[in-house]
Amino acid sequence: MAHIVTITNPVTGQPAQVDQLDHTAQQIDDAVEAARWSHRNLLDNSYWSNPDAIIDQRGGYVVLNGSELYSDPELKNLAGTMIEPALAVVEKTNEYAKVTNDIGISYYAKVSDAVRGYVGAGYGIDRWKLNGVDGGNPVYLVDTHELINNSTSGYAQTVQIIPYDFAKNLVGKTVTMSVLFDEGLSGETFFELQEFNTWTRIAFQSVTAVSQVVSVTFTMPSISNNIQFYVGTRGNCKPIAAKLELGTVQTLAHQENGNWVLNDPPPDKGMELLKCQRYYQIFATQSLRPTDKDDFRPPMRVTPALGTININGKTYYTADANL
Amino acid sequence: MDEYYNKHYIIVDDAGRILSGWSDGPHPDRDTAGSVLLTDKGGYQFRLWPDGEENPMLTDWDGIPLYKLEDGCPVRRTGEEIEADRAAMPVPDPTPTMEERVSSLETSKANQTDVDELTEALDLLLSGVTE
Repeated sequence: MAHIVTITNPVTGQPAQVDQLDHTAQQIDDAVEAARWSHRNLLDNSYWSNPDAIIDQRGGYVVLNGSELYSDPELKNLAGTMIEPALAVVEKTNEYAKVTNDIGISYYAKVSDAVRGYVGAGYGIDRWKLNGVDGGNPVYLVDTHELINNSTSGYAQTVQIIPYDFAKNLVGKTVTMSVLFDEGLSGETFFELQEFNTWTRIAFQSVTAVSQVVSVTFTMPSISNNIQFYVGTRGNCKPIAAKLELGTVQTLAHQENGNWVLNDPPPDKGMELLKCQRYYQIFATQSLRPTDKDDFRPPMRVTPALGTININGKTYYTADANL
Repeated sequence: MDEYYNKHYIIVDDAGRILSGWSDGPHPDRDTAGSVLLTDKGGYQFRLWPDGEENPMLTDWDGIPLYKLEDGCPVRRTGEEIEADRAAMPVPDPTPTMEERVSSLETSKANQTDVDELTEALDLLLSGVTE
């Protein structure tokens, strides 16, 4: 809005009527910037109910409790039934899925018993890091989008860390975070936004209802570190999708005939992959993997740690710039 | 929240020079035998110091270490130390000049011509051709 005011013309020295805006130029710039961001999901790779749409460059598999284990890759000598809650597959071929238990003994399971997923602390699907707190033991199953705490103590988390350089732009703004959970929730479940390293709580929401959106709106406080968003459970839960956005209301999902459905179409997988590849990339050919962060495509967040990973029996060369 | 921290390791030679470093975040299974634990409260990526660069270059382009461990702390090596390492690097064999390479080729070609003529004469003798 603008209104007429009378000023003194600095050139002529005579009174003159001019339009005066109610907002400063900086306020207008800030509003444009906020509008550009409004309702965009500030989380990467956070729509989990469609396993084919998830960015999962590591391609991890797990074998679950109760699976038959063999002592040989030909699967002729049955060693027993797996008693551990879950074990990560360390090598997978068309013939077997190899696992190694806590004391370093390897066994072989049927390929059909290997399901997409991750167990234990560390990165799983792109941008999401599993963590066990106070004795928690996390397992994440990709095809059923299930987070499990395989422990009688503590809780399991799936965590995304957002860099400070990006998060600082949210300070002082109204932010809403929301999660839609599927049926199959048990045990205390919650989601939280924290300041990294200090673990200062920014916003927290416990979850008791499923098949509906749970959200919380807050004003972003001053921060000096990265921030992290996580979903945590002492039992198990099945988060369908999560959203962190500027604005006073959640735009993750709406109700149709009493059912909650996601608002947005599934994110463009190509764009999600590009966002994730700033943090993690894999190469089939070692010589094609750059070393300088700016030579990767897309350029990576920082100089990455270089390593290798075995996916379906083949060695790939990795560049890890995760937080 | 100890679960969030990673261990950072470095390999140090007898002269205290830091040869390599890594975090058990991206490298959870790397063998730590012979390494020095820099910190057990580190971030996911390796740093020499808490506020240092993530995954810094530890050597220059000639492979000369840029840092050393001093009283248990990484410090940047001085320019004199780095140049002393560079001066101590083995000197590669001198590259032949263009003139030397051409002369060598000409000699080799002349020798080969002699060999070719001798070989041709021998073939003629063995085949019984006299004209």
